[in-house]
Amino acid sequence: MTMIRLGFKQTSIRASAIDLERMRACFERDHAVVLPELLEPDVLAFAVRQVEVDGFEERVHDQLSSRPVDLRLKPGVASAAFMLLTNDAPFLEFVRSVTGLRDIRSFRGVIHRRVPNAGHDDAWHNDLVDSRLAVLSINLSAEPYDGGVLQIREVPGRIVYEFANTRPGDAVLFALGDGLEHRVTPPEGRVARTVCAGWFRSEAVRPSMGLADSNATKLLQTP
Amino acid sequence: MTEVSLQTAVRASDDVVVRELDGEAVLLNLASGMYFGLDSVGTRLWQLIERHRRLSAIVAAMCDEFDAPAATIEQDVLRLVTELVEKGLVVVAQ
Repeated sequence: MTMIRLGFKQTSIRASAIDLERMRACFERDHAVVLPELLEPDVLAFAVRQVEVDGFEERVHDQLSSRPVDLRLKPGVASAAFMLLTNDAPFLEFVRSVTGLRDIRSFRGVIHRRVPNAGHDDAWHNDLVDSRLAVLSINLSAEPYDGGVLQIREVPGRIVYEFANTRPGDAVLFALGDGLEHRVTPPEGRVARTVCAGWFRSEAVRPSMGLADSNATKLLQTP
Repeated sequence: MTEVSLQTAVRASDDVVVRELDGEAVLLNLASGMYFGLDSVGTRLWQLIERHRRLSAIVAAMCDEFDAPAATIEQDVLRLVTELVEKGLVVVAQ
């Protein structure tokens, strides 16, 4: 049984070579693989609480022709914490193993929210810019939501994968490629869909990336 | 002013998330919202805090690893640990 957990203290991975091979085969076949309970419970509880403290602002996706709108978390502690957790070396190596993408060197994500019946929407796109190699979406919602289905299609139009990542703390890792596009259907019901979604990239992480105003201090000089 | 001596033992605060990015530690205090970067020597000190806790053992380990006078290393370790305690990144272990 494969187990991968992002915790505040460490990233825990329990997966045999056979487990990893199965996940890799799933990723190749479906263009996606689900990572159940990726977040340890205290990390999920922190995220659910902290995003309300940090607050959201409206975001317009100008790069898409239909210019869909949703909410983006303002820079703060929650974004910084997820930047650290998702760039942990063991986790990046796990993702390299599952995807076969050896060029992955970092993850850059955004916490965003789509509220049912608020006009928040998405459109088909491929994300093939800015050294992006694969996508991770982690559910940070306070409770399960309805709708919000991830769909992947092979251009020009056949949908080959659908997954509703509705359980808080679960994640889905999926592929980018020339012949692939994806979108997420609008949330339904009463619960907002809040996720940390972003891209594994070939560029190295820089500590200033994704963090709020830098206060990094060089605390010790070499003797 | 926090009093820190070689006999002091410290541990990482429960509020701190630490990860190494490209070989250098980044420390995020979830309670204060502040984050800090450590250079390679500071990162080594952090690793030794997690292993040894007591500053006398940490200084001894660093004296083995770094080509610098023991008094200089001791002074720098005490200064940095004091700063880490004041910023809530490590706490004095009981």
